[in-house]
Amino acid sequence: MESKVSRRQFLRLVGGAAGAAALAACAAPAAPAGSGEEAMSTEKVVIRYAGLDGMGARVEAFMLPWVEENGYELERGAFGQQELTDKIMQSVATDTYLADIFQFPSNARADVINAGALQEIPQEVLEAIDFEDVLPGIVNTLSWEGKIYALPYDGDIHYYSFRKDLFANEDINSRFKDSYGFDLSPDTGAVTWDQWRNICEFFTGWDWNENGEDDDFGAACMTKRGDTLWWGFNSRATAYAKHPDDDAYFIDLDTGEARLNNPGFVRALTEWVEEMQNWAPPGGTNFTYGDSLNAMNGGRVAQTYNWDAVTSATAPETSVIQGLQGYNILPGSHEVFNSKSGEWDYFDVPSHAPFHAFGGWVIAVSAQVDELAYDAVWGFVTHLTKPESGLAFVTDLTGASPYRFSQMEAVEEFATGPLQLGEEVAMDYLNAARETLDHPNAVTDQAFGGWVQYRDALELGVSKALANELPPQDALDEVAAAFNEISERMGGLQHQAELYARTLGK
Amino acid sequence: MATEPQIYPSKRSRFEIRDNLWKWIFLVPAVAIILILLAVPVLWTLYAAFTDLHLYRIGDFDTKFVGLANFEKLLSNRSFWRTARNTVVFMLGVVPAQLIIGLTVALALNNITRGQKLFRTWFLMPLMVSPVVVSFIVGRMLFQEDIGPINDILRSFGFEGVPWLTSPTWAMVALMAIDVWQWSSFMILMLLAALQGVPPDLHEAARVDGANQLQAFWRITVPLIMPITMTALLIRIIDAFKVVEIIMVLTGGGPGQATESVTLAIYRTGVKGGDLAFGSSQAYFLLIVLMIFGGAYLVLTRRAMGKD
Amino acid sequence: MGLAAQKRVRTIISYCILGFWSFILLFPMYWVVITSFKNAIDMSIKATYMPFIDFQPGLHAWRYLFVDRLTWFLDPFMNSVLVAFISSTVALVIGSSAGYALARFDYGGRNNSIVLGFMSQRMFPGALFILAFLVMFRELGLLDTRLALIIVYSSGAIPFIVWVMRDFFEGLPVEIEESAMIDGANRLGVLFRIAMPLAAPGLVAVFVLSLIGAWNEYLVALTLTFREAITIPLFMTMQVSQTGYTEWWNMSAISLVSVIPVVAAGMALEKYITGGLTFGALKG
Repeated sequence: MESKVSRRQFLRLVGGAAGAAALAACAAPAAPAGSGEEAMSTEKVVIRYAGLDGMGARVEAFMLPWVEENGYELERGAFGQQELTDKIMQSVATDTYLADIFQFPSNARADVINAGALQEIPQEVLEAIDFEDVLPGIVNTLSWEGKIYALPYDGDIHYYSFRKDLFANEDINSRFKDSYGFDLSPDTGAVTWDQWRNICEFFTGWDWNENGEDDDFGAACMTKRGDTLWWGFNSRATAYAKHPDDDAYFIDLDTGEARLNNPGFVRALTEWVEEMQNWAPPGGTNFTYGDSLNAMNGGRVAQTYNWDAVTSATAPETSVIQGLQGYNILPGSHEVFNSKSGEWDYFDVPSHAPFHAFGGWVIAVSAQVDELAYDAVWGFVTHLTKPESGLAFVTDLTGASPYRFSQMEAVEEFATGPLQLGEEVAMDYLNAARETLDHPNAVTDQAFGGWVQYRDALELGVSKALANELPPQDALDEVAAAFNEISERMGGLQHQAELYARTLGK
Repeated sequence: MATEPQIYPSKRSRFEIRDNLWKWIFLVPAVAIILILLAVPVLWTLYAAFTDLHLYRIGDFDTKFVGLANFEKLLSNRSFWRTARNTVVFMLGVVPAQLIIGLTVALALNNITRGQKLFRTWFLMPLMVSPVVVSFIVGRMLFQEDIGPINDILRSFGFEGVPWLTSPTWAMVALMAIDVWQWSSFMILMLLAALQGVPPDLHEAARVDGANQLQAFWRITVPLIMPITMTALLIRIIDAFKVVEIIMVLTGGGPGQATESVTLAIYRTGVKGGDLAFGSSQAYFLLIVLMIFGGAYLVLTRRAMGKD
Repeated sequence: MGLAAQKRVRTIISYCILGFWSFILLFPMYWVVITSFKNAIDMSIKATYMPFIDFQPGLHAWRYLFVDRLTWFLDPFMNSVLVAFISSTVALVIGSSAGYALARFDYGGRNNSIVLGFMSQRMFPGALFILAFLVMFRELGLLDTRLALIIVYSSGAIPFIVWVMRDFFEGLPVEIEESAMIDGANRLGVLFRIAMPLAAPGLVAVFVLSLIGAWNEYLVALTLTFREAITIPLFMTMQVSQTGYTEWWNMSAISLVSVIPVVAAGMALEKYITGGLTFGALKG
């Protein structure tokens, strides 16, 4: 670490000197690149933070009083969703300093931690933030080989959300029942994906939001490649492809072979393509995460699944459906594909396999922190992730979702805090969160290394099917082949299977 | 107007000996910089294309030479051929459109006297705007499917809204429209310069000889503006083969892989995915295609014009 | 139809064509200007076209940019300014010196080949460079620094400058330089005191063109910079890809701020720029 620090400082000097020389040469009036930084040691300690623009702004607003009180300075780098992950991965791979503290997707933990880019979290810090209180599913996303390398910030999971008010409308329900033979339930929404499909079809093409136009649809999902398609598709597929008797989902734990083209995944994709092409708003096969939220909050679709459906629906400036949404865990399925036997198994009670989509943003400390900033940086992350701060974040419109036992109990704060969810919604929300995070058949997101590459391969294939470029089977055959090739490159199928087992806590 | 590059007579300076030092001091920095920043990447990429070099590999792995494996993979890779096809389609779409618009507008511009400078200045504008902004403004906002103005106007005339960004075909059309919007100006200005080099009396003479407007245009104007047109076309063709920025911002290569260009694929596999080896082999493929195409183009146009 | 009438018809058609194309070029710019004055509500229900008629313009996007988030925007803006100016200046000094040398000295009769060699750089796809640069600048420890961008942009601009300036210097009379040298001036003095001032129009053109090139460049910046050294185009795409709600009005304001300086400079120097753009091609 020592040498990295000095190298970085050296480079700053070189860069600054070269910049200054170049400037002197052309006598441009502006200040040179690195000037003023040589004198840094006598000035305020600067804490450099890299995160998403929106979420980072919240962190900045929350942390500024603390930062100023301690006489530090905060410099915040703001990134888009896609760029943040790319830049973290590239800076890690190229051993380049990005920031002291960064928000990063826990999917990338194997890559980032193995490259030696993070500092292990000191015991004092873990104690100071009451780490025992963090849900086990979340702890898993923070650690590697039994050591803790990151701090919790956000218990991101996908929630299924639906228009409770419409489902409770007797007139609508009786017409629905005439067509599909079962009742719409305002308490649970769709319990299986078959029900979800019926609801999609039913709510498409007539004016249930009474705006005078038939621009109303069944559902909107995140379907855009390079955005959040990975989670949109996997959340749709887990119920078919994750068997309760089999721990594995993405690749086989014995052979390391990709499972992405098995009948479970193919069924999910075939149905999803149909839903998104027919029962989603125009452009629905190319929606960003934000587009799908906008469609839901704008009252144009009857159901969706998302990370922030709950919190964003409360904002009056963007949402017309405050208090009208119900929440549940992702729908399940009566039929689940069993990869071991190669057969579909039938379950009388629908089998759910809620996807720990993303597993959340986590806060990590770079191995390249300047020694002078050491105290400031650890103080910063402690203050940011301790229980009181965590509660303040998850009960406000920050994009962060609950991740602690204590937060699951804090119905009162969710109901009457800044989010103003109200008792009923708060209960729904926390129940769905707890049920997903505690579910015995929950699916852990991919985190066994090479995540960016696997993700790109899957998004490429799935988006080809969504755009009708390839039939679902062919598209997923390509994905599976690409998965195997990436595994081969990352150290072999067996090697990846071992890492996968490790991320599953085996 | 020369059809061949002019061979300049070397200017003999009387001060050659005293100047010998300056002669090198002036030239060497430029040559050195270009050599280093051209040769190193070209050679390194060639090396990388024959290895299994990777940016993100976990653990200790030695870089191996893999021979032609990357190129074999390239030739059998359906995704890569898709991007190659997209790139060619894009080029074939934008370059003729720019030529037609460029010629039409340049002829109109050459035909008027009042306001010519004003139009010329205005037509320069798109060339100054960054491709990122262009694809953001033109693409993201105007082609927005739901409430973008283009679909809104179409609908108000009773047409269906066009799925600009979700249909593979229309997404390509939208990208082409952006490129045409931005780069037609280049053609206009080049062709205007060429047209202004045509002596008006030649035209008049042809008219006096009984040729009509169109015949005079074909016999006199076209041959005279041909050399510049050919150069401008080559520049645009090469640029179109390298297209990447507008795609990144507008469609990210989607829907599916319908608009992914070769350069975007190289960025995606090489920089983002970290597969430097496969990325390098694709970059070399593009380089070789450009070399062959550019060379053939130059030889063929020279020969064709030589016959004229 | 008489000749004069024919001519009138032709002129009218010409103006129609020019007007139409001007409108095509104008509309997107108009759209971005009005969008920067729109509120969220003006964009969520239907398209709105005319300020004050179908929507009430507001300054909130501009306030956001210049009051609320000025510092956040200033860093990438200054990076772009520094990188563009320094790299263009370096390229101008080095490139025009070489252009001058190739115009005035004889390199064994190979002057044309040397110039062609410079220009061959244009044939190489940028994609070929980004992979190598990523690794090269990693080894040098220069990733995410302005220096890396300055190096790359300078080297990118030099061939074009050599090409154009060589022709420009060729066109200048050699006699003034010779008499100055008889009076005892050396080459360096001749270049900077006599040749460069005479070639000022050409220098302005190539300088502004390299400036614009560096200002607008995206792919290399995307590959080589991470946080500290990001430039305006990169900053903009990061805002665009920000998931959640695309803030069109804020993006439009940022776009305008990034576009106006270069477009204004380019259009003000139209004569030189058009000259620089078409110069090489006219030669052959």
